[in-house]
Amino acid sequence: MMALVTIYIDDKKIIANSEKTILEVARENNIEILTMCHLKGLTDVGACRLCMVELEGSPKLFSACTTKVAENMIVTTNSERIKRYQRITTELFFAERNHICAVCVSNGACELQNLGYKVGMEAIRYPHLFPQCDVDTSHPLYVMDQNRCISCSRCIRACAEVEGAYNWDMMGRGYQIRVISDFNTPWGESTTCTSCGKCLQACPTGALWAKSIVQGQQDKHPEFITDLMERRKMKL
Amino acid sequence: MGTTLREIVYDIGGGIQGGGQFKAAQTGGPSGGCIPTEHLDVKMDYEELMKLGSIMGSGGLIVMDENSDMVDVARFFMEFCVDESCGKCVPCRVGTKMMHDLLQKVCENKATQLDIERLEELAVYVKECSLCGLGGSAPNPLLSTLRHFRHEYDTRVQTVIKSENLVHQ
Ligand code: SF4
Ligand code: SF4
Ligand code: SF4
Ligand code: FES
Repeated sequence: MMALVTIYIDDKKIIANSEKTILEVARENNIEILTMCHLKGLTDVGACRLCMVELEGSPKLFSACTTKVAENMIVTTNSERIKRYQRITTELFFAERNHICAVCVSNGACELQNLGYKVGMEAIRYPHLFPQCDVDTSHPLYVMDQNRCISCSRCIRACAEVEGAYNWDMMGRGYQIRVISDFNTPWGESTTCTSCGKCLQACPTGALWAKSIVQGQQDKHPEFITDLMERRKMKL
Repeated sequence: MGTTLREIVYDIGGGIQGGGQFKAAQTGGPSGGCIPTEHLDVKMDYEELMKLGSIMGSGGLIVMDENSDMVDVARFFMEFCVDESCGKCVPCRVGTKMMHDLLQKVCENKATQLDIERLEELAVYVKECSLCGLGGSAPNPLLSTLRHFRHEYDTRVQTVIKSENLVHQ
């Protein structure tokens, strides 16, 4: 049931709709919370843990993208602890696979790269895992490079929830999870992909890109996904 | 409930096999923590174990004698968590793997003081940021060995500095 609640985010008093998440309310009020797996229009999964916030009265942290606002909630988004954790999460993203920006299609227009700048990442203090990763070039138009994938699942959700094709899925567990096409078969042989390109637009990194572009030229439009869903809701 | 650890180990369990010295007991399975000799008289219940940084958890109890290497114990339990992580959230998926690899480094006498600091920072981060209870408790063996057996970590690191010095001479 929709109700109006009073909440405080970083000492700012806000009247909010109780159906909304902390993240939605913060963004409507121009308070920045860093996110990666969230893409407006897609179901939130709370997977990257970049959007963690403190709630007064609880020793636990909460992911802003999946936590609804409630009466008298007192939210802190910018404590030293939160900032430290944002930096660690960012470094773990970089250390997990292989991100050599200089040779990447997304160089200069990458959400992950921007995140690195935003949190002031100077060095990656963790040993790189550099796993053996495949690059799937079998699709006539697009490439999937596992080396740049951060397992945010935005492609999976865009393909399923917006296009309705259900091409992508996640395979395996732990640090060995991989995004797969159909039943782990080459993307070019997919019986579900309509080649709409939505997964590519939803992807925050250089993991999904179009063959027609050259290195450093892949700018993405995740807002296409958001706009599509908004228009669909309005039945335009 | 309320029986002391000493009673369980020595009276009920019949003491340490082979007549060795008690060193530590891991309670609560791989997500629990270890209890050192000075707390042998702890009453085994939820609150008392919590105070020592451990849990009742699965109710499992692993008793270790003086030959046990506590860093390797932490590494072993972390390996379990790396395998069990579902991979959905970043702190648990990448964090447990990083902690495991850093612990491995300590075991091999290749770690620096900086690695120990990284381990401490990662442990608290993974505990507080993970999506579910597996990640939330995965750092417990690491945190409790750091708390009760810190010297075993520190001596490993010192060995590195010494052997490095040898190389430079
Ligand atoms: S995906 Fe982004 S962060 Fe990764 S190498 Fe490419 S530009 Fe750099
Ligand atoms: S191109 Fe479209 S249909 Fe094909 S995998 Fe991507 S989102 Fe799904
Ligand atoms: S391919 Fe892109 S959108 Fe899909 S999980 Fe990897 S980083 Fe996320
Ligand atoms: S944006 Fe909230 S957990 Fe990823």
